[in-house]
Amino acid sequence: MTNRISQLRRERGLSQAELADAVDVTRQTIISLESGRYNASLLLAHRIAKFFGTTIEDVFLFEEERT
Amino acid sequence: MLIKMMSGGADYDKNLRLRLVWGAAFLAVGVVGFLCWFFLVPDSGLNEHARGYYLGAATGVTLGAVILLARVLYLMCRPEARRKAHIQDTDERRQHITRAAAQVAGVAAFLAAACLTFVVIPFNEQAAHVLLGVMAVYTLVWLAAAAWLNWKL
Repeated sequence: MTNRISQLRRERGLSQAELADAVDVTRQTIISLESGRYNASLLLAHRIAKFFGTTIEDVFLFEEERT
Repeated sequence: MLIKMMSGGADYDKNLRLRLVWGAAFLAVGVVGFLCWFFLVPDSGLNEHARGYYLGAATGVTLGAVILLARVLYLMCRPEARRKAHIQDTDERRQHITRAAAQVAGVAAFLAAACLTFVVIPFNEQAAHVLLGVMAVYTLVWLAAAAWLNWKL
């Protein structure tokens, strides 16, 4: 799973600390999310998508499982 | 970590008040330890090591309780500090790290106890029984917790 958090954040001119503050997590969590080292829970994904005014699918990109 | 686990919940102000209660309870345990050390230990005939345990444990528990109480009271009086502490305490990545670390520590402790049992048996059978007891308690608690969570979730 990848995400567009970094892109959406930069488009809005926000720092990682400001985004972290807005969605009630630490800056380290935003750093880990942006680098793909940590996957957000459904609740946090919802908060982030809501903050950016978009949908979870638009922020978090789920790769189709290959059979 | 345990205090945070036992006082977790959606209402952070309520959590802080609960931590005050836990802090007071630990302070009481520390005071009881000091009272035992002062009144009971001198005439008990315990060796120096056991006496030191009483004093060390009582001091540790009391200091821990005082630090916990001071921190909670500070957070209750400072809204900005409370908000930062709330974020730190409820941050899901940190909680994930804490859980994963506890899992690793639990497995490592269990394996260490299993290895130590083999080493200890020739020297001290009672110590081996204690280690086996710890492993049995760990296994039973794990099974009970797994069954409860399986029913609850």
